[in-house]
Amino acid sequence: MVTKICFWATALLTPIVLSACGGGGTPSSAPTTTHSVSISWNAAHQSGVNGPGGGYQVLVNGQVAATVPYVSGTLTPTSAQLVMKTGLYSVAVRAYATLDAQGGSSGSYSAPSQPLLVLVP
Amino acid sequence: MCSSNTGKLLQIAAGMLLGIAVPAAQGAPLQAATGQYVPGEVLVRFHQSLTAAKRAAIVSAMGNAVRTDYRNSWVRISLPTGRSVRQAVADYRTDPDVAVAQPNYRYHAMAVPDDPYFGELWAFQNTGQTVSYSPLQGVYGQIYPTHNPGTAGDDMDIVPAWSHITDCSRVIVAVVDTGVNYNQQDLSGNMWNSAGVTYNGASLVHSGYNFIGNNNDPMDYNGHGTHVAGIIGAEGNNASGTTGVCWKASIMAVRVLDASGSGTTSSVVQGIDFAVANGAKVINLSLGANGPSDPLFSDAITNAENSGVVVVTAAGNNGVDNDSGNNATYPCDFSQPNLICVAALDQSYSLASFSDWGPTSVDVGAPGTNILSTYAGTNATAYDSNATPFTSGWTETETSASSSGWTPWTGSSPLIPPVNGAPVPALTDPSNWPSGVYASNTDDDAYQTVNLSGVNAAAFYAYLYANVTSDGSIALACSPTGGDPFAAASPDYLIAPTYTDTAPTAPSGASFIPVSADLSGCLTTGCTVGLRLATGPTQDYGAALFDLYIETLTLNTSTYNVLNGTSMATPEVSGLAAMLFAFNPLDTYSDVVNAIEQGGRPVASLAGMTTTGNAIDVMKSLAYLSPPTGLSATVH
Repeated sequence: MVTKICFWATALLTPIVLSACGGGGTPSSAPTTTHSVSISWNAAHQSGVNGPGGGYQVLVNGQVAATVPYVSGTLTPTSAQLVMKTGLYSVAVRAYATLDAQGGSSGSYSAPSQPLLVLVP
Repeated sequence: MCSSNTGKLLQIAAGMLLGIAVPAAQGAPLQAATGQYVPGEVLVRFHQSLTAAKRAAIVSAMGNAVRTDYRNSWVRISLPTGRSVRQAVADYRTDPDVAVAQPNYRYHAMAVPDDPYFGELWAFQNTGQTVSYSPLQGVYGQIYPTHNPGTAGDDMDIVPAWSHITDCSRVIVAVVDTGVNYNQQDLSGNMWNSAGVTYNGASLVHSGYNFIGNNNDPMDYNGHGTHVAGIIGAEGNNASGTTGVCWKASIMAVRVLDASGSGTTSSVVQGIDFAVANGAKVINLSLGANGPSDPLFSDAITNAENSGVVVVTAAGNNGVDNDSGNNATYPCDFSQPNLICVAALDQSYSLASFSDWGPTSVDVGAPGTNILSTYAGTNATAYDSNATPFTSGWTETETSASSSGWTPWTGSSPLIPPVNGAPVPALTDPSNWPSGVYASNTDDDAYQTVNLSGVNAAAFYAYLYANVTSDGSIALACSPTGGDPFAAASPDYLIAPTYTDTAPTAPSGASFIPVSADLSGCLTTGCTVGLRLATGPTQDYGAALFDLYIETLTLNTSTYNVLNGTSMATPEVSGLAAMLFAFNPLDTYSDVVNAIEQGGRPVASLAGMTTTGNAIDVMKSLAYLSPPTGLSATVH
């Protein structure tokens, strides 16, 4: 059964449970279960993403489902773990940094990556 | 200049807290960035009665930590990761022991450098100023009259970017051009450190190589390359001259064009290959030619691509659509993804009248009119046919009595129309050019003596109509010892004997061609420069030479000049490419190209005229973030 109520949260390296929100899903007779879903992507090359105040956001069906901030070292982590309920999801990732296009530090985002359709059985 | 120096930050913070004027950092005025503050920090002033220990206890009880104690009971407080600054400020403001709580606002210098000619550099900061620099050098040193002054704000948006980066010296930028005057006062400190590098067995002691003379001295004997280099990386904030896009840079000088600004596929390709092999990440090609594609040149661009090098080139200065008809201009029209082709904008961000464009070939626009930059030296005119017509000082010889030989001409023809009502002097053969035909089986020579002593370089420029069949030829030559330059056993040809027609045709439909030549082999008091029309049995309509001038260059270290062209727009983009590589050391050439092209500013005059419709915008490119790639998911 497709769940119509969305539960979105921002998590810092903590898996969260996501439900599908419209569009897709499983036959109504199928039981709803949860699965751990690993999302990964290539590292951005911009210093702002790989430095303090930078990172990535994982977007599920267009909403921020997880934030992966820079912690230390050369690169910001490039993966996230989500717990998702049965359903079909559109997953994308965008990068962020503190530097904005006016030269200030109010922050900026990249365009989202090409979306990936994820079917959680 | 934005400082990462802790002491300076503290000084700024203290000044702000005390409500006094903050001293400008190195002469640059500081400005607050409204609403921008340091994440994870707040500044709190407790009541004066509290001891330091008590203040620390209060902060600790709120889960925070005192980072710095200032005078008058101000403290700088660190918040735990993820804690909202706004919420923390709100929380402290409710504490009865707190007098004031605020974010730790960011301040940065609006980094305008102290170079005395900065006010002329509208490309960097367009205030609506009139560019009026003088003295101008050479025939190309000109003030472009349209939109001077232009529109305030129509600039590269580089001043805010200089608060984040001015030093591009970790990135080598190759100026593949007429060479670079590596001694120029604004460039000498920003040249590529080539210590220990050898090429063709020569130690590279002057930051590059000379593929015209095939030696290790890439000195600029024209001025063009030095101008280009200064746009990329004239030393900034050094209280001298101009500044480049990068205040600190690493300029590799690669001489592939001679003193007249001409080169060949061979010289240019060798220069590109040299730059790639020696670590350049950006190659500036303010050069090109209209004509057929050039596979060897294309291969060199591809080789640069395979080495991760961004190549920036000029659209061309013919004022035409490069995508149309026979207008293709190379290298602009090559299609490699590491190639950026640049059109020129004026001071109101209109397309410059001379600039080529191309909806599929030209990528971005950048300032290209009234660009003040470093120059190689001072120019002087050694001969000008418009000031000293061909009626004076020319020696003519003919080997056939039936030939009229080279003849001074001041007629009126659509081919050489009057300028400001005055006829343009020309030298023609036959004398009844353009309607007559030349004599058969004759050598007609004409030459002029010029004093080219005491200068470092000289170049010959003219326009030529030529209608000569394949059993004849036309040529230019010079002699450092005087006399008819064609009389020598081995004439020093400036233009080798060539013919231009497959069959005799009246010149009415022809177009003139610019001719130029390097006179570096003729720097004497009695240099003679001449031309020869050699004819066979077949007669044709002959030739006309006009607008002939010989320009000299005397090198120095302190000259600047105003030039116009897509050649000047190109290094604005090369400088930005270097800045992006320096700012984001992990960037690939694709990242840099995307940041420049997608991070640009839409400009009406470029819509439909270029692939992006954008003018470059340094600050937006610096803040540009590429969309993540390679997304994958695994359901467990």
